[in-house]
Amino acid sequence: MKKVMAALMLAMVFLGLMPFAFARQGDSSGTQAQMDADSMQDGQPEPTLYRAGAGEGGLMPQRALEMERVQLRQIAASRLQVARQRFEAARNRYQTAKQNYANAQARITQTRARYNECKMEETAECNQVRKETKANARNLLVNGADRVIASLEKLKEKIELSDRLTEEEAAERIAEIDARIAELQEAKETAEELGEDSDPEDVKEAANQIRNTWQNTKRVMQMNAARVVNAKIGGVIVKSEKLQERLDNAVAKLSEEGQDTSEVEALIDEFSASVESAKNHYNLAMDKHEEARATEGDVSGIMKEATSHMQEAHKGLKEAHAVLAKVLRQMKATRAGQQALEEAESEEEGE
Amino acid sequence: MRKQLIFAALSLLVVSALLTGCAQPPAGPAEATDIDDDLKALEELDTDLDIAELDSLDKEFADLEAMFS
Repeated sequence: MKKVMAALMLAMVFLGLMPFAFARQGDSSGTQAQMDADSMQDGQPEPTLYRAGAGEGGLMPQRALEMERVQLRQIAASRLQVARQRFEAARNRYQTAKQNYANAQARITQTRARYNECKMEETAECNQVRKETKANARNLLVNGADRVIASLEKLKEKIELSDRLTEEEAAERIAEIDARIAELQEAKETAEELGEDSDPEDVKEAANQIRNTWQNTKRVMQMNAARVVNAKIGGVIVKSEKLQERLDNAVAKLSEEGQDTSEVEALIDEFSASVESAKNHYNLAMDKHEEARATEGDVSGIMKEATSHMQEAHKGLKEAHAVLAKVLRQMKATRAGQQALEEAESEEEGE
Repeated sequence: MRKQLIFAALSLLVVSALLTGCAQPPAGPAEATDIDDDLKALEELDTDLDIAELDSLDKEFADLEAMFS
């Protein structure tokens, strides 16, 4: 009898766990299917054919396309997996370089005053201080370059993972980043050649080369990172608008059935206003983004404005999402509301 | 013993029903879950790309350059 009890207990555990597996599976496959369907609807050509600023009556301008589709390209699962692995590897390299950089910096801070005092002294102790400082300067520069390179590699993988960029735009941006990585590798190699006995002038030159390369890189990094974030925000806006259509349809059904929908309609208006505000800020951020790309030199000021609009857009979407939870709670509270939601969903899928 | 068996079978049903309820995706259509995930991913993106962390490099490289001048 003990065996029967043990078997029952085991069955209980397995049966209990099964719903988790199915729920996860159903969740992700449903979402992907919906997104794929959205992406390829109407048999339109591949999104990569669309370019920013394309003429009227011809190809759809990229921004309009971005506001139309949830996905701008389909990325194979295997490719996504490789990008995620590379991102993790770059993240680890970044952390190691950051730690080594901090160690070198701490040592330089400790010896900085003594190094300056030793400039006019030729003692054995001063020679040692000079040697150590140069070795630490080398480590600081090499790891500084490594930090930036690893950070650029992470950014590259984020671009690779974004289905909100067309294949063409992603390739263009990745090539831009690769060019910066190559430049930084070159500057890093110069720094790697430094040693305890290097001439101070060589250390200064290497530091200057890395600093200049970093200044040129910063612009590329800021703009591409902002683009990845903005593209994601654009995706949330599109999904929110599609969801709003469905909610409107569900409410219309309830209204036709004579149900009181005033409360839920007020919430949907609130949801819609927040999404609209997010969309306005998204567009303003995109304007700033385009302005930055067309501007030579330092774009920090423009990017700051773009970031501020993106933060506002993000805030608007978070507010919308909080209201959405209330809308769904209200609708699902009644059987009629639940049914109207399901019908709106199946009608949309049938279209 | 029969009582124990009935109790175990009932427990099985209750636990299974409870877990099924807990494992359901959050209320609402798939997009609602998607949006939730996207908003979380957005929060992480800034830290992931550590742009702010690298801001101090300018000054630090310049300080080093000055030190060896």
